Amino acid sequence: MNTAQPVGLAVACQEMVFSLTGQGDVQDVTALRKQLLDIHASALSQHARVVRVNLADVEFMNSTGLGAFVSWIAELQKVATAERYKIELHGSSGRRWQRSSLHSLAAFGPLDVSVHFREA
Amino acid sequence: MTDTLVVELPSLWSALVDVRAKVAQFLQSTPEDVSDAAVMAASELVENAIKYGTSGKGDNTLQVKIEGADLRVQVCSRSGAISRLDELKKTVDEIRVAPDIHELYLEHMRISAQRQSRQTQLGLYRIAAEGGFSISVVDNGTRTCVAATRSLS
Repeated sequence: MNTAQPVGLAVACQEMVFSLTGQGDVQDVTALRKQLLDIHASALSQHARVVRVNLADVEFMNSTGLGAFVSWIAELQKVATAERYKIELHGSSGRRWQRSSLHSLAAFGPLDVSVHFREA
Repeated sequence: MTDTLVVELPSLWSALVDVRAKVAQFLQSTPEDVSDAAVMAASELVENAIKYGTSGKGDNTLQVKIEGADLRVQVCSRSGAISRLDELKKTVDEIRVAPDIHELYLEHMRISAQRQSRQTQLGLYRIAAEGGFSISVVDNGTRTCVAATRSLS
């Protein structure tokens, strides 16, 4: 008997990339948190292995904006380890606030978040 | 260079960009990490005054002052609700006695993620942990002054 085997195709988006720009004087964390959690849901559904966030053109981010990232990382930490993707935060060494603040986010999610700087 | 910068507190959120630029300009001859920390601290403290509705015209100011080997970033504004002042004092005390400020900051990140409220209430912890400042608060009944102090080196 000649039975066609189902082709085990799985489409995986290995890497998602998005950028934020401007002044991150976030007044209400709700909107940015929702955007980041939408990206999180999308990354999980697409089985992304890496979500790369380009922050090089964010001139400043207040603690409320950082809090939205904290919520995102906390959501990712609820996912089983094998299913998780990595968050890569890409900054610019010329944006000096990023040196301490992005490392704070990495300290919050040491297994899930890495920080990368490009020379200004 | 004079040793004090005084900026009247804005009531508009959009003015934070100018506040940061003025502090950076004032501290341009100090080490980069000190200047960066002061810009962040000033921005967070002024933002709090705007957020809690205590900024605006009058004797409400941001003051950045070099005092010997120390740098002080202070925001004085109209006293807000007593509950807000109590909360502020509690946070300042918690920061003052924390054996490890970075661990306290991480703990409040965890709390903020669980709370899922509109405000994260991370500003003062950030000033202490990322900026290396000690924080104090004084209220005389009509004005509240929050000061962040660290060494210039």
